[in-house]
Amino acid sequence: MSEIPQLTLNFVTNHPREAAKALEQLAVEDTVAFIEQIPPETGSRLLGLLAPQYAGQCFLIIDPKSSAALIQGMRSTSTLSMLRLAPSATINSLLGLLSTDKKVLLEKRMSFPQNAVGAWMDSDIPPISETLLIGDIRRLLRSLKDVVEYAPCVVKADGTIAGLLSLSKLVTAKEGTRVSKIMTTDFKSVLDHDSLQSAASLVDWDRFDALPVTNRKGIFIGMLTQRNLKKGLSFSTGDGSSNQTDAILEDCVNAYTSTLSWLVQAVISSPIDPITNKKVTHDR
Amino acid sequence: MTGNATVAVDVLNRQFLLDYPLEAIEQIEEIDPAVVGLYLADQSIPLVLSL
Repeated sequence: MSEIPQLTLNFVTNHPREAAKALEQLAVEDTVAFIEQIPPETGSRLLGLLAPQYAGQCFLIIDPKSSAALIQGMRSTSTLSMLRLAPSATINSLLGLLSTDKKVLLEKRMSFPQNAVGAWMDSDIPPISETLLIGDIRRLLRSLKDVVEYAPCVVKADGTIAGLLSLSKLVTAKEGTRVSKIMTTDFKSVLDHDSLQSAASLVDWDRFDALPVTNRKGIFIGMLTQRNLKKGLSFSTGDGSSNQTDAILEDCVNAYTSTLSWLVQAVISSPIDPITNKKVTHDR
Repeated sequence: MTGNATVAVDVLNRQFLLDYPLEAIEQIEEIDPAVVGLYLADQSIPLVLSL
């Protein structure tokens, strides 16, 4: 499907973070030309790892036929970070490319205040029933397209939280062990309406990469990862908006430079001397 | 303005060679030498010599 060398594709597939960092240094047009020629699932992964502002700019120029597949394959939190920086017209056009389920999910997330836990939680990894065996869980997690990067949440039949299954226990436990026997129960969960600042103050972050999020009824609704917590905090403290400020400043500088060059051209080609205001004659 | 995917390919290949030289070399050794020449043609001489 593409003329992209296998060597490059291998790098992008095996080291997507490093690839995304390298691409961010390029003109958006060059990155988009590349992404449009690689398999959509690899493209989605790369777009999800790019800085949200940069990814948003990519979507503005990606061929509409490709955008639907690419945005659909991105993780919800990455799409959300990108949408938060996009103008409302872009948000609507991007949301229109998504499946109904994902669109509803993202709209729900965007309805949370920007500094609320609910706006930054991850629901791509499903909760695990406490009655499952370790072998079943391994098979379930292997079938997911997303890599499991944190301890999945174990839930009771009524949807409330039972515990967390640490990845080390998931790897080392015997196939036939029931998850409820080895899960961790010593941790705190956070409410979807809690502020990110209050969530960040929990000491449990020293031991867990992600903490479960519940609604007011205590039902598990997602996980707040450390990465998203940091991302959310940087947005709410203004670091995220610095990208927008940079873009505006860059536009101002470009406008100033083009005006200046126009002025210089005008002065050079004018027969009137700008200092003496007299007509210039070129005597030999 | 139309973008050029080759620019991205060159940058990514360079990053691969710099960050993961052993892994990159293992993969390069599997590729036809004529094709490898094309990959390396646009890379810096010190980088190519370091491989």
